[in-house]
This record gives sequence, structure tokens and C-alpha cells, in this order.
Amino acid sequence: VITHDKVDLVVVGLGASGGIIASEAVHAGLSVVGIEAGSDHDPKTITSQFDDDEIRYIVDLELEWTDPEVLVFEGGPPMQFPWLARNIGVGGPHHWSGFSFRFHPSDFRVASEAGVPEGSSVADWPISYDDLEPFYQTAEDRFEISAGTPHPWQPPRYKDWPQPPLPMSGRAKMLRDAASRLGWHPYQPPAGMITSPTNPGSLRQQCNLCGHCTHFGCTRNAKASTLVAFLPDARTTARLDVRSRSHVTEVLVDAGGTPRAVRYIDAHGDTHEQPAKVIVLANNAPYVAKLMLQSTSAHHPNGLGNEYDQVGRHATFHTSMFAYGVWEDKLLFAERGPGTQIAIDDFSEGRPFQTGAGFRRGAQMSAGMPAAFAGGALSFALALGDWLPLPEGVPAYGDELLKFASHAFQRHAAVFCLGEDLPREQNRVTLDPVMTDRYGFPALRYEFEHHPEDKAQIAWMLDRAEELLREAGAVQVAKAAPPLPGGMRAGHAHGTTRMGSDPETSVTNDVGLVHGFDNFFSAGAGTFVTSAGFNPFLTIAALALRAAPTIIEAAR
Amino acid sequence: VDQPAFSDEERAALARLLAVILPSTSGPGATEADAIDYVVGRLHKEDPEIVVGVRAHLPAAAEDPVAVIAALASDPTGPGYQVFRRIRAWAWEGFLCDPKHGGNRDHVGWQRFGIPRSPQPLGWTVEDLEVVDEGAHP
Repeated sequence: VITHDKVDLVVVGLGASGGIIASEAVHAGLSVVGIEAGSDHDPKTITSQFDDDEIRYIVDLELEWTDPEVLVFEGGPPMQFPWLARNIGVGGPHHWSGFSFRFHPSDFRVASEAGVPEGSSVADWPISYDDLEPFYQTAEDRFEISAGTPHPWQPPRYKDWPQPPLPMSGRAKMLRDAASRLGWHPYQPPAGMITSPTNPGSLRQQCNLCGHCTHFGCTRNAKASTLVAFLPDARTTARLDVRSRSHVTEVLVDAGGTPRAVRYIDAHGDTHEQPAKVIVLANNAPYVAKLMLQSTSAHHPNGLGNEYDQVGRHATFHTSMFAYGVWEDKLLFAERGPGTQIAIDDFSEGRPFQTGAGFRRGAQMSAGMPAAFAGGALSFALALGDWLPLPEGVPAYGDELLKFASHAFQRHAAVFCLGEDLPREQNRVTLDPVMTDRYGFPALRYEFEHHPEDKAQIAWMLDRAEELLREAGAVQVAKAAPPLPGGMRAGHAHGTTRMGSDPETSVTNDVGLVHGFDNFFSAGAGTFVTSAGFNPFLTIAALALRAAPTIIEAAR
Repeated sequence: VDQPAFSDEERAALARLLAVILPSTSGPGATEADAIDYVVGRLHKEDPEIVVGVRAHLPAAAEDPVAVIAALASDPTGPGYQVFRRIRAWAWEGFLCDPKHGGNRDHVGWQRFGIPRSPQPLGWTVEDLEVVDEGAHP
């Protein structure tokens, strides 16, 4: 074991939250070690390594960690697959779509607004929208988020976005007009993209509308990440020590049971111990829980922070519903331009319930992206009949399939809905009793069952998605929800180290400090109390900015 | 895990399976794209279990590839369906991949899908994002 000198702060995972926390701590004068499972990148040269090669990013999933996990879904048999599309690499997120929504005020007080449906563990967050608002604003400024356009349910804001909206595609205008005819309120969603002209020497260049956002790295650094927005400044000091391709396997405690170090295995297979005053777990939410569960000791026989069996519970992944339409004689070019085309909040929060639908929390609709969400023809073709349904009458192979796919590719557009799934105590991340990971620890196991209201929401939203496509003129429509916790393949995982004020029903306090400790934090979407029907990136970033001063104070 | 290379017979049989998935009936298919070159070139990256599963069907495919695909694809819940899915994915990958990976010869796949050029490095202009109404043109 290679033992390193003690530092002020260790951050595990240098992505959306870890990259922010490490940077803020370095600027406060702390010595920081960042340990990241993926590779390190130089933001000045990374753009030349990325390209639009679908074999690299869609087939070989170069930006994802692809070790298998175990999923037990709706009580079925355990299934092995790398279920969660989790991004790796210093300075993530690299392979995200760019949707940069704030949550809405009601998303922080679901229990108060909607009650607690039977069979759910819905609760209010210990913070309000107003508590987080200043940090949303800072995150938008630092990541240079492009503006959303107004709509009736826009969360309160007190400053303009730093970048103008993306240009609107023809298909987005077509879908916007169709949504308006249906009485809905379409708008352009805020996106993590540079949209104004840039100087040739700038680290981040204006988005060139290539359309290869989701699953791909950005060839222009137009897309926001901590690699281009926070870490460059932090890395100009010697106080940030980045250890990439290194996998933390345990948090070690001292004789009194207090976290004192992390143990990790580097790319050569050597084991290291890195002591620190303060430890922050900022890796992907389910893996924060896994790390806590496998960090057992005499003081913590059930894992760190798990005195009340809360670690890993209340896991949410969003519901995910998709539909695409094919037009007979219109070239829509859905693969051109980012996937962030138009958004519709008419069915978010409690709105469908207020008009009689059978579910209390709704879903956000976005439209105008390709059916495979990103990429080009190969991404589209590979999805057909695989995770994306074929329209009725189109066979699974043969000339009719080829004719359909080659016609539909340039003449289709999709609608995706991403819904709030209700947390349940029994929906959890745990350690698999049989399978092990590559380091010999138990593999990650998801146990998940949709709440009945989630199922009602899925069916209802699929009908709305079809309604929009038909209104916009699609002659063929296919729609489906994936037979798994929907947002997993979007990399959305939340709530496994839930924040709250009661240690018996939560894992951390409102800044991610794990109950019972004063030097051990969980950061990221794991602390979400409820999933909100919106992409999590900006909220992860805002929570990290809000937690940073407390973490820094603890490490001084 | 390294896989033993395909024999010439196995290669020919697999090429016939790919051509059942994407035939050349109404235009270029897997054969014209040399999709088989793509598959053979990346065998070392594939799940060994799947490759073994595909190999097992190649002797029969040499005789009657249509019957092999029909049997594998007949039951989406059956054990053969995973093999079918992999062969179908190979066919698409070999048809539509960047040609540097060995398939999509002379961009026949991209041409069939109406793709004028790679989206990079130029990206698209705002005008490129406009809808083209094919019905408006004679």
C-alpha cells in the first residue's frame, strides 16, 4: 500500500459536483486531491480527440463506465448489464445533452403540495427553491448557459442567462406551432452551450450545431462541463492534485470511527491510501451509496453513515417515455443541431393531476431531437426494433426495414418525456450477494419497482407525445417506455444518500454532510429527496456551490 | 478476449447472414457496404459469448441463411434472439459506420440514408436546420 501525505480535502469523482467543490476548495487555499475513475483530459487538446464517430461513442461507449451491474426490476430475475449510463473522465459531464433546467419551487416541497402517496416515501427537501436560487444563478453564469425563452411556469429568476438562446431549427418551429395549436406552451429550453460568437483563441467555441451532444464529447468545448468551466482555473495552482484512472474502493476510519482516508487502486493495480481532513464522495449517486455500503468497520458494520439502513434507499431514475413520428414528404434533419430544441412544461409538477389525471407528479416534454436522441444514421438504425419500437408493419429485418430506416432518417423527429418518479424506500441500491466488480467487491445491485402513479404517468405522457407528433403532421408514430427504470440510460440516478433533518429517514443534512460526522460529505444527485421531472445537471451544480463553503470550513 | 479468426467459409456464411438483415433488393445493402469487413475487423472487441453463439449458426448459414435468421428472430424472448440482435447490429454498423472502421464502402450506407457529408468539422448552419418540403418541389 502506498500511503500519501495527508491533505485538507479528498474529492472522489471530478464531475459535475466534484469538479466544482475541488475548484472552490483550491481557491480557498486548501490542498485538494481529486480521485477520478476515468481518464484525465487537457481542455485545450481534448476537442481534437473527440469526433462524431458513432462506433466510438454509441457502440463502444467510450465515455461511459461499462462494468456490469445487477438490476432486479419489478421483482423479476437479476439481470446483468452496465445499466446506468454513467459518464467517466476528469471534468465531466462530457456526454450529456445540455438540458440546463432549474427545478421549480414545487419540486422542493412535493409532500406539502401533493401529499405522500401510499407506497411512496415522498418528502419535502430541507431546502427551498429560494435557498438554491442564488446558486442556480452562479452555476448558469460560470457554465455560460444559453437562455431559455419565457413560459408560464418559468421558475423565478433575477438575472438574464449569460448566453442567448440557440438558433431554432425548422422542425422545432413546426413542433412549437403544433404544440401551440393544442393549447400548450412550448419554449426553448436553457442549454449548456456557447451560443454567441467567440474569438478563435477562446477555450470554448461557439456551438456549430453538429448535433452530436448526447453520448459524444464536444469538439469545440461549446458544451458546458467542469473541465472547461471550473477546473482550468483550479489547475493553474499546485494545490489540486488530480489522480485519474484511479478507483476508490473504501473510506477508511480511525480508531474512533471517524473517516480519515480513502483507499484506491490506480491504473497499474497498485493500492494507495490518501488521508484527508475532509472526504467528499462526489461520484455518481448509486456508486456513492455503494462506496458507503462497502466501507465497513467495527464502528460501522453496515457501512458508513448507514446506522439506520438509509444508504442506497429512495433511489429514483426518472420515468422516460419516447415517441417519434415520420413525415411523408418533409426533410426534417433531426440529427442537425443540439437535442435541446423545444420544451413543454404543461404536464410538469402537479398540473396533470389538477386536471384529473391519475398521478400526482408529472413529466417534462421535449421535442425535435432525433429518435435516438443524438448521433446520426447509425444511432438511429441501431435503435430501431432494439430499444426504439418500429411502426406497425415494419419487420425486424430485411428490405422493408432498410427501406423504412433510410426513408425515415431524414424525415423524422422525436418527443421525449422525462418524468418525476416517486421515491420508495424499497427502491434501492445495494451490494449484490453473488456478482463482484473488477476489484473484488460486491457488484452494484439495483432493486426497483415503479410506483403505480409512475405507470399511470408513463401511459398518459406517451399519449401526449403521440398527440403532438400527429398534430405536427407525422404519418407514422411509434412510442414506448423502456422496460427498466427509465432514466438509467440517460444516466439520471438520484436519491441514494437522501438529504433531510432526521437521521432515521435520511443520510445527509442539507449540504450533504453525512449524519453523525463532521468531515464526511456526499455530493451530487444522491442527496436529492425527490427526482423532479427535470434533467439534474444544473441542480447538482447549484447544490455543490451551496455546499462548498461548509466543506471548506470543515477542512480548514 | 481474442477470438480465433473466422475461416473463409465462416466469413462467407456470416456475410450471407448480414445480407439477409440488410439485403440489396431495393438498393445497396450489407454486401455493397462490405459490412463483413467491419465485423471481422472488430471481433476482438466483441463479447466472446456472443461470438461463440454466432459461430454455432454459421455452418447452417452457409446452406440457408434466410432460414437461420428467421429461426433466430422468431421469438423475441427466446435464447436465439440475442444472437439475432447482435447480427442485426453488426449489419447496421458495417453499413453505416465511418468507413475507417472497414464498412460503409464508398459511403454507400450514408448515401442511401441521404447524408450529404459528415457533420464535422464544419457543423451545420442555421439554414441547414430548416425543413425542406419535398412536396413543394415537382
